[in-house]
Amino acid sequence: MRFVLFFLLSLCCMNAFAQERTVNGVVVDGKTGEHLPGAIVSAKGRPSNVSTKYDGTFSIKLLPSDSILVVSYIGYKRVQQKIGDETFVTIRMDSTVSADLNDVVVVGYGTQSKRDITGSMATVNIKQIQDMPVASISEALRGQIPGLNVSGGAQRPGELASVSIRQQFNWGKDGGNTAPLIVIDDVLQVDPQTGLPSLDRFNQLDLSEVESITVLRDASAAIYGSRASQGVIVIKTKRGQAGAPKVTYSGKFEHNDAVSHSKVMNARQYGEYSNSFNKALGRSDDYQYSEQELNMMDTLNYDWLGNDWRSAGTMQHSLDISGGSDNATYFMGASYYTQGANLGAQDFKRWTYRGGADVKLASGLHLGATIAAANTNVEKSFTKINFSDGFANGGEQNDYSVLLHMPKYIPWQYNIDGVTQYISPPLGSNRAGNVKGNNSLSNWNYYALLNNGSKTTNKNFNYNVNFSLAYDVPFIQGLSFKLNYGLSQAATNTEQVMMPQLLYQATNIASAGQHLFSETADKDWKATNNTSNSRVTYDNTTSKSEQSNFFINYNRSFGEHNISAMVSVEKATNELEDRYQIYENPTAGIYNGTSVSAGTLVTDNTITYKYESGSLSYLGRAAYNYKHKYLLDFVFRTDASTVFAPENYWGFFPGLSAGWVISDEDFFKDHIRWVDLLKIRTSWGLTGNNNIKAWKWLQTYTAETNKGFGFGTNGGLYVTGATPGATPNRDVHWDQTLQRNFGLDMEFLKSRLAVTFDQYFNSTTDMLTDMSGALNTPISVGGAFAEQNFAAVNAWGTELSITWKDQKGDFRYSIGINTGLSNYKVKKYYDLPFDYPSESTTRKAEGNYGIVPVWGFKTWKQTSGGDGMLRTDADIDNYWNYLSQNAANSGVEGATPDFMGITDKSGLKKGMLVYQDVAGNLDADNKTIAGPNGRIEENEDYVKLKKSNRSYGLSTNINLGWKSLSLYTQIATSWGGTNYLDYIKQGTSSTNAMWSQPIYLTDMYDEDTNPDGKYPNIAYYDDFGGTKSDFFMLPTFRMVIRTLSVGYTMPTKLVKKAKLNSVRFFLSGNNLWDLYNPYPKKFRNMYDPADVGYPTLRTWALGVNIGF
Amino acid sequence: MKKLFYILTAAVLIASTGCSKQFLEDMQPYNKYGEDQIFSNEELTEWYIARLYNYYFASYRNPLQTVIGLYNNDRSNMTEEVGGTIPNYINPTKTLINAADADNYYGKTSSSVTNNPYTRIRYCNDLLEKMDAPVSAPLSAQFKKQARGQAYMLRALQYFDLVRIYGGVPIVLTVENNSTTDVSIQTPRSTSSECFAQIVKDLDSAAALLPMVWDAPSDNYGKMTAAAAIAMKSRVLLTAASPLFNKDWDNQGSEKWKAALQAGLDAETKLSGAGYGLYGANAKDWSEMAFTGNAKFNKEAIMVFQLSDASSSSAGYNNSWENQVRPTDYEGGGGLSATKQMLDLFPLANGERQTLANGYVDTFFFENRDPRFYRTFDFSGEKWGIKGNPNKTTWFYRWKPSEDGKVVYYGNNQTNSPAIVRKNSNPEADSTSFNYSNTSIIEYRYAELLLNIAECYAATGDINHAVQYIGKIRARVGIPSDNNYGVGNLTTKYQAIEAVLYERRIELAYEGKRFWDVQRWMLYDNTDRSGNTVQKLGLQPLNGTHREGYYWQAKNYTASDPLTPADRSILIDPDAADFKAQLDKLKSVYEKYFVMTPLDKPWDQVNNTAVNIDFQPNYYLSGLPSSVLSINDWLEQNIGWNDYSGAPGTFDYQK
Repeated sequence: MRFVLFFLLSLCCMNAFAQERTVNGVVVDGKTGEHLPGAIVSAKGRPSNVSTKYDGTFSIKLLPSDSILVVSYIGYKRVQQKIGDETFVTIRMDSTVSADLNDVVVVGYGTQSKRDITGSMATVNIKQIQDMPVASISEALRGQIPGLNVSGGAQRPGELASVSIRQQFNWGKDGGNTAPLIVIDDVLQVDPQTGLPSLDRFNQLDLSEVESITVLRDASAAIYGSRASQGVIVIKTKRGQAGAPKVTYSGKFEHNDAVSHSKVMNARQYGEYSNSFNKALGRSDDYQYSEQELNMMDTLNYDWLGNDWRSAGTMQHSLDISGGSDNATYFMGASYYTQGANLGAQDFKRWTYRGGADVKLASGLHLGATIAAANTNVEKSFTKINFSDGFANGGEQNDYSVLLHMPKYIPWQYNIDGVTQYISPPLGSNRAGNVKGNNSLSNWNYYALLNNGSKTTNKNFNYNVNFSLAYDVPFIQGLSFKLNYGLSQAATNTEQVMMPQLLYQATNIASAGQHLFSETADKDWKATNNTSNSRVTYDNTTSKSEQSNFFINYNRSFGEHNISAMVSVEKATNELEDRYQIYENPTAGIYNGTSVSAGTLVTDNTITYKYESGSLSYLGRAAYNYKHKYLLDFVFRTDASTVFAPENYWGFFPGLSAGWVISDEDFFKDHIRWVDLLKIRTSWGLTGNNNIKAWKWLQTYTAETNKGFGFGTNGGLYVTGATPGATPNRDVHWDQTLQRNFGLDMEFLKSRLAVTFDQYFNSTTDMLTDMSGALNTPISVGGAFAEQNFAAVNAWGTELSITWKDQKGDFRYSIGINTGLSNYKVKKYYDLPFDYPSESTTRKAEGNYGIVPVWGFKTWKQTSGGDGMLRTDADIDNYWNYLSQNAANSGVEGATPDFMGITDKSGLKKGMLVYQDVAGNLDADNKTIAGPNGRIEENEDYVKLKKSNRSYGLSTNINLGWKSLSLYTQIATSWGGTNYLDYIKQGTSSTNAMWSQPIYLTDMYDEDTNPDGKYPNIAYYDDFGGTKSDFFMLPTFRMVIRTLSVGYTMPTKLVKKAKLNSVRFFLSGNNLWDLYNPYPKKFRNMYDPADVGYPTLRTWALGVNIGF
Repeated sequence: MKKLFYILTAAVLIASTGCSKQFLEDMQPYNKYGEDQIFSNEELTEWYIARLYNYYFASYRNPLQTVIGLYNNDRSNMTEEVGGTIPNYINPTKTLINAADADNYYGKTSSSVTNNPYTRIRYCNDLLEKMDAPVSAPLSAQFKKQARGQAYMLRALQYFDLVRIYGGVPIVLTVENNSTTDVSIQTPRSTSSECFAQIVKDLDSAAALLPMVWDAPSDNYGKMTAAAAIAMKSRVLLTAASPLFNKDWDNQGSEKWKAALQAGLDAETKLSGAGYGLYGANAKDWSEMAFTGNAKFNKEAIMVFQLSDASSSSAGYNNSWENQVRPTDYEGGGGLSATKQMLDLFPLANGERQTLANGYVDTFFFENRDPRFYRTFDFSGEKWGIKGNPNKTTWFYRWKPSEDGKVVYYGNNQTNSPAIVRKNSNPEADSTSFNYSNTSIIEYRYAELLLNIAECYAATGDINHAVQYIGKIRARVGIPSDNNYGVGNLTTKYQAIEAVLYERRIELAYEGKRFWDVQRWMLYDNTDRSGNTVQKLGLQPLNGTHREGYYWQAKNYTASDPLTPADRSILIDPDAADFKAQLDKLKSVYEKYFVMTPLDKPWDQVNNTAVNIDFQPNYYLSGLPSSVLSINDWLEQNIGWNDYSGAPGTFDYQK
């Protein structure tokens, strides 16, 4: 021990005794001659470095043995320059048109040089996306990498985009998740409650904190074993760089507004539509708006949405400091994000902090420490509506659609007896509504809630610490140990307050001629204090995740043979505790934020939960290459998880990949000059997936305080009940995906054209499968069935990205196109009953593909209008004859006309769609389907409306630059698949609200008032099967300019005067313009369906980056 | 430096000791229990049983709702009791014959626990097996006995409803392991008779294990009892003997009728011995029996389900009935309009059927009726209290300013009838929270048991006893005993059966029982297939009828309310001495101001077209749905329905 210590000490001291000399120099752009500040200069073979000053000059101390200077600078090719005795050198750097192959790419548990990579990995161009005005990184990744799918986002504050990689399959009942595994600084991000991959922390990261993002799409993810089937996104956060302290500020000032709102009917149009609808149903006159009322409606325009909706602002600020010396570097950063509300009140603030240091404790001994914290506070109005119907989708986030589709003759406030009061919105023409009802529209007034103290407050605080201690073993060159420990803890407090609403209800509104409030006398108003949903809830969650790793690394070159190897053991635990309290009947005006004034505690719903899970893994990597030309990489992982029974804890996941840089071969170099790079790579590996809820291998009984039936004095009350879980399947184990990938990396024409091509073919077997629908599953067994490892699927796809980059004088540009195609085939699935082709070709079944035909009814065009809609009595007669003849000709005894269950001609109404009769009974024994039988039924009479539901998509990324100006835009194009008109059912029961429909439905058929109406009468929605026909199909082409950003870098001279290092301004926009809209009257935009719960926001941002 | 090495070494040691997987095995699911825990602790087993009851009865919030686990109004909506809703089975524009249209009650398999019949049966079986297994050793013998008794009872109830809906079904009495290949669990349908036998066997087991009345009612009132099992046996055997399941029903020597009679009499003896009987001695008591409290023994309540009296929506099982029946003027859900058929149906005060001959005039439906009429319906001026206003009344009429003018309803009581249903509503209910009125649903009343006995006597030809048992029902509500309590002298078996069925319609009106009586006796149509029961009993089939209503409308056009507050000050209280005089006042107000007016639009209609009830003969028992037949192809389809391939069914449910 003493010897080792002495040895180490002497190593440390050795430098001090060596003779040093100082070399000065300047780093300039090879083409423009511009001096480059911030370039990193070091002596080859030694880690210490200096960075160039604002004028590009540097000064470095060299040892006698140093003969080569290495200079690197972002956006430029690395330069290695030999130096002799000179004391001043000028180093010219060439800007990188092609990505520098020597760049280091972060891969699973390590780094690799880009040229040595053998897997299908893609790195995100952080520079390209950093200006985008998005709330989370996920959203910024849209269209950046082929095979990476991003959906959602840019909607209600706090709703984040979701991400998936390639094709994912979840055929178990629950516990499924298609999100990729996120790894931040080697720590796997999992939800402490479910143990499944979590995007939470990823989405909380500010882009300014991120150094690099790598997406692992294939077997290279096998090092993450049981969680790797969904792909992995590896993130490295920024670390300090040696040199003078560098301070960077960036700020964004954003403006958000809806891309657009659906156009809905005005008051009068609504009245006329409602009259047509109710008349078609044969409802009494009480449901009809009189002519006089319709005329009055012309003057009414209560725009519930427009009254509150406004554009909102968002701000993002971040400040980073980085620097350090040879022995220690540091990075510190903070970011602040605040978002205004488009609807309701909102106070949203997010702070993130990150600090890290890398310290050389002694020669060969490095300590790395990072601490990061995020603090999110949201206080917003709570306008929850407990109502699901038509345009209302239920739940907290439901108000937008309700406000948009509220009939415009209904005010939210009305002057009653000289006082302005909030009213109970009547459900429709004949609905006085019930203010006390639990699930109705009439017990809810958005503006009453907005102003009565109802709110929800969410406070989230979390911190992560990472420690790593690395030790380079002195005796064996290339051997090192590393210990990593990651801890993350989070606490969330949510307080929800819903106060009683005092609503005035017009009691006589249900009668003919009295639908408008102006017809309601003061005495007919009834005030009700709606307390049915008023409550205060407190929900506190604390969670803790720990991960520790011990690594043994070995990296060494023997001549042209380069070897690196790593093995590690990893242990992770997660725990979560949740405490939930609910109080009912708080008194308005008294509640002050604590339980004393929150009402009465509902003991049955005041709950505490705990969850825990863990995993233990062994993993490793071995990479070998010869001259960086022949590449071989092997990874493995073996995982144990509590999701499965102890005997099934372990799964083993190996991965092997190889590459060959053909363009480095002499025969190639000498002959094919126009190809600068040709690399082929292939990978093979086994990854796993545990898409099943924990403890399914054990018969469990879940105790819940409100699931039991009380007796005696507890009669009628909830008491504790123990619910049996699904019948266990102790044999459940990992499902396995055999991933195969073949890739080509090519660069042509002086690296101006770069092409990356990947072809994958994955076979998943032993898939966790919900077997309950299998043929011969006896229903009389009862209970529920845990998943079994059963199904198998082959999935394949192609991903292509092509980039052209060039520079002409001061003008530089690049155009990149990303696209991909994929499909899958079910190789094994349980037997299913014989069925009609629309069902049997589209369901999960052995031999079926992922790309399937589109089925639906074909309208019967022999109607008078030729559009398949019944418009005249003759149409009805003709169609009934058509069915009768088919029935008579079917040869089936007793066959009679039957249209979707209507067996009497009187059931057919004008304004309905009718369909072609194409098939009859199926015979499950002989597997045949009879011809037309006069009966129209779903599935039975479906025809192929389209051969394929495949949709094609391209995203084009364009960068232009001229001197200090830059422009980036992304254009997404898609076509194919299906697109249906939003024709949304209007319910008819006494609790259904009568909604204001999209404006195109002013052209709805009405026998008397609009006999030429183009669209069927919604009153018959269920009778003719809604939208399941070709009538509602629309073109699918879409071309959208999704994002655009323009940047300007201030001239260095000017900046210098202000004592700054660099200044850059930019203007960027997200969710911009569509070039084509097939919707009638363009009533909606291409982003949001008519019943969307919240519109997509278009954001413009003005930003600045300043380097000090 | 040295320190660092120690740290490093220690860290390596920690990391390597951490490699034991013991920490994984130590982890546990927190809010979950294993079977070894659940069934070895009485409190935990009680939790399991409480959950089982919840699966069965959690949705039972309204007496019109029927069918275990499902509890919807569909079947009540197919009878003459409720107008306006046309379920598919009575919709003349629909013909249901394909498996795809059959009732989905049977359930389907699922990978998450779904509350359906065979799931409930599985959990009964599980409890029975566990109570016999070693794991339950720590439980007391008494506890296990009662747990098993409840499981038998619940299992029997579930099979009974399956048989009432489909006929014979697969009988599964053990916990089976799911498999697609194990032929031994591909259980075929048993015959209806086999199912009835199994149900009776379970009821006998339950009767032997459970107490007749639970002690400590404050803890146990509402649990299944031996009394319920014994009485249920009467209901089950009566159903088995009824024409729907009994081809030999018309033979008064039929063994099935005899068995049903025996079960009824046996139940009567045992239950009355244990303190059960008719509640109260007059019509007022009769109307109050459903809200006697949640912990007090009610002698009439053989099977009772209690509803929440808490003031919170999230605390318990709310009552949807109280809100439904209260009209707008009571701030209720709008009221359940009485159909004209039901208003006309009730006997006169002396128990005689109403006829033109004996002076019944439908305009004055409120005059001189059976005491139960006034407690089943509420009409203009009748006392119907709420909390804080025990003498509250309301009125049901409307007026128009002109022929085409807009109609105004008094108190916005927009009902399709001048009378609405009030049975089993609580005069102490709070209008701000009708949902929490402390009412129970007495699913099985002692009165029904007596009527079961009466029906069996009638079917076996013992007319005198049948009439005598009807008399017991009528005596309690105060109908005079003359002329056999108004039933008169019956001469044929058919007349006696009809008299019992009639009495059931009155006594059990709006208690969710009518559909099952119509179904058992196949009263929708009069065909050979339905045993011509309608004709034999001297009835009219329900098919071809529709639910009727009417308004009391002001005789003259008027812009304002034709009545003055003084006119409406009448307080009609059937318990008052001057009851008749009050009714006369109402009559005079009517005569002065009102006229009977037909509904603006027919009550029963489909898409703007008036319809009559049209119930096809194959609907009495549903076929199995295609989702069941396609997966379990060893199950036969009922005769009258097509199977998954469209071929006619072969299963004879009358076997």
